[in-house]
Amino acid sequence: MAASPSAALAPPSRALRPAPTGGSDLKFLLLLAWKNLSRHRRRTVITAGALAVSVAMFIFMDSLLRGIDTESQRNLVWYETGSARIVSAAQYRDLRKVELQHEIVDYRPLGTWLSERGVASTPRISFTGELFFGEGALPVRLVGIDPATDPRVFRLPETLLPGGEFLTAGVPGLILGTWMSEDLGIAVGDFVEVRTRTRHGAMQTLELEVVGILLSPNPTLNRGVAFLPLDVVQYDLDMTGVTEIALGALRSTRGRHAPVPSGAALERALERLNGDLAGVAPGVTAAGWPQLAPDFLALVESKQSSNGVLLFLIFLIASVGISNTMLIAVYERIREFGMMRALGMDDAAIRATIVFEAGAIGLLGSLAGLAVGAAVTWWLVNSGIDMSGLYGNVNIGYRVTGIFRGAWNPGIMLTAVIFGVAASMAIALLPARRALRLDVVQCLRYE
Amino acid sequence: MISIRNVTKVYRSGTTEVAALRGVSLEVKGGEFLAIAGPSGSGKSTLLNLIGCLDAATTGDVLIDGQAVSGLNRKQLALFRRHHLGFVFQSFNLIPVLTAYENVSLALSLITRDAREVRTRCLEMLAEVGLQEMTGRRPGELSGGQQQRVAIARALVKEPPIVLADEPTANVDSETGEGLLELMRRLNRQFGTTFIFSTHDAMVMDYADRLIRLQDGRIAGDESRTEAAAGAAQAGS
Repeated sequence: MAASPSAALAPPSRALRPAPTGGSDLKFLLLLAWKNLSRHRRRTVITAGALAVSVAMFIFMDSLLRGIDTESQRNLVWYETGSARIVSAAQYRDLRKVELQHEIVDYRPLGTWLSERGVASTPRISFTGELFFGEGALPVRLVGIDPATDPRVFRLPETLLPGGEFLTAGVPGLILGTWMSEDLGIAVGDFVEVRTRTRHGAMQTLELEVVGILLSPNPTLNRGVAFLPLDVVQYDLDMTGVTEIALGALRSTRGRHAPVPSGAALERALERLNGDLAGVAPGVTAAGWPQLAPDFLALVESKQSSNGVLLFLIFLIASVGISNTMLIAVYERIREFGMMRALGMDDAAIRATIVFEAGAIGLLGSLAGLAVGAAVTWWLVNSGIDMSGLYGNVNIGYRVTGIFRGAWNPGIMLTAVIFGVAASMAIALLPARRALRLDVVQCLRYE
Repeated sequence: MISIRNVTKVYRSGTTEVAALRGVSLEVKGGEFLAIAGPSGSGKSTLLNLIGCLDAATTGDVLIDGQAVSGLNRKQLALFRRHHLGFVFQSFNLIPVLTAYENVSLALSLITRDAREVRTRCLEMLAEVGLQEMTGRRPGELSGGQQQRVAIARALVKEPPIVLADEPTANVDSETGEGLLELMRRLNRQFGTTFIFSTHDAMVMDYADRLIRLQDGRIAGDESRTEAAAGAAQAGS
């Protein structure tokens, strides 16, 4: 009569503190995996090296793109849009097309109200026109600014090249970007002609002296924007109001000012501001900077998806290396696995040995990649890459010129390491499965 | 202890069938020192694999301690081997990156978590096989005979009731082989462990208490060597 399996499976030898059913000593498996790395040191180093390069490259790319993003957002807010803009309700419906008819007439009391709330603001008039100088002409976006309050929100005075000066209220003058001035051969002191239309649609020509030329970190300003005094614009375009009120730093829910508010914090700040505005100026609405720069947001979104592709490609290359190494490592040890199974090691433990070994290669490679990536990021944050030679005065959509700097992102660094280890372990499952498909006798006879 | 009942084993390769065992029946008692001998292809390794739960019979039953091992699934078989069987392989099959001590502790760490117990028993067993001075050496730093001693220590450290040895002296010189056989016989006497060898080495056959001869997958002879030896001694006197 056959005994029951449970009775027969009980340990027959001296009383021992038994291992859990089916389990193996995890410490031992880890030790074995670690020691296995020393079997073929060169192969281990090459495989881990390939992963290290991938991890370092990913950290580098992420740092660079994040740095460009961060700097672009800052330059967008500091030089182009402000944190947000208050516009008329009619203008809010289509923020891309600025209409002079959609003016905010009572902008001064609104400025005072904002000031009382601790929010810096400045009125502006945005319009388009054509700039003529000599034989040349270029389309230009024109912005009427209040020289007294504008520096509270924007940083234009800091961008002026030597020899120029900032605008003075009531004095017809113009500040334009350096790339446009180079294209048309304009220098400080030259007189230019600006052709545009008044609020009522009538043609208007303004003759203005160039008082300053700016070189901004935001290439949009260098290429196609010119600034002139607000009161001059109001007089020449038959306006009493402004098209927008640009806002400086917004107060967060914790009472701090965020220089470049974004995400949920910006949403909450705008919601609060619009709620309050409804009580004092029902005909106006505040729009955040992301709404005012849809081209930039589209670029960031496309970059995020390309980041995913980049991540995939980088790790695909590393995966091929790890997969190859693990396949060789597993096949040359088939007999060894047969012996371990004969001793009573179950499939899960054998699989764990192989996976731990791959994980150890992944850990070595990822940590080396992290070290290299961190060193490169440090250099990128402190020195940056001078891209002016490559891009010159071409606007590539990012609001960055010259030196592209990186940014620290500990989260992505940790993710890269975890992903490197996890991917290595996952890749090892395939050769492990193949090895375990053979029965013990086949393994023991494997040549 | 081991009961083999009318076992056959047929290997199939495409449409070709090769019968390695043809109706083998055998009873093995606990504590025996038994050799299975026969020429190449006689089925001795196949029989050893069936007893070792490494392979399954095509027909017939293999019972160990009353347990029909053919009724066990893959995981239960692993567990059964872990607790009941020790193996000594012809080519040692030690893990080259582990020391002698670690190779031995591999077998014991599968059945106990008690680190002190593992250490004590592994060192005891390495001392039993005469390798107390070489516990920290890797297989590459040991001779063939020393490696097989480590393999024997690995098979015995968990004190299994049965140790299966597939041509254990095939890869060592005759002097070393004799030393290994002496060692295994001493351990057989000391621990009461059942030893079953497959061999075609006359020296191994001489050491066995019982010799099973296989020919073309059938048992061609089953003789008790102690009785034969006793008979020979009696005849001599």
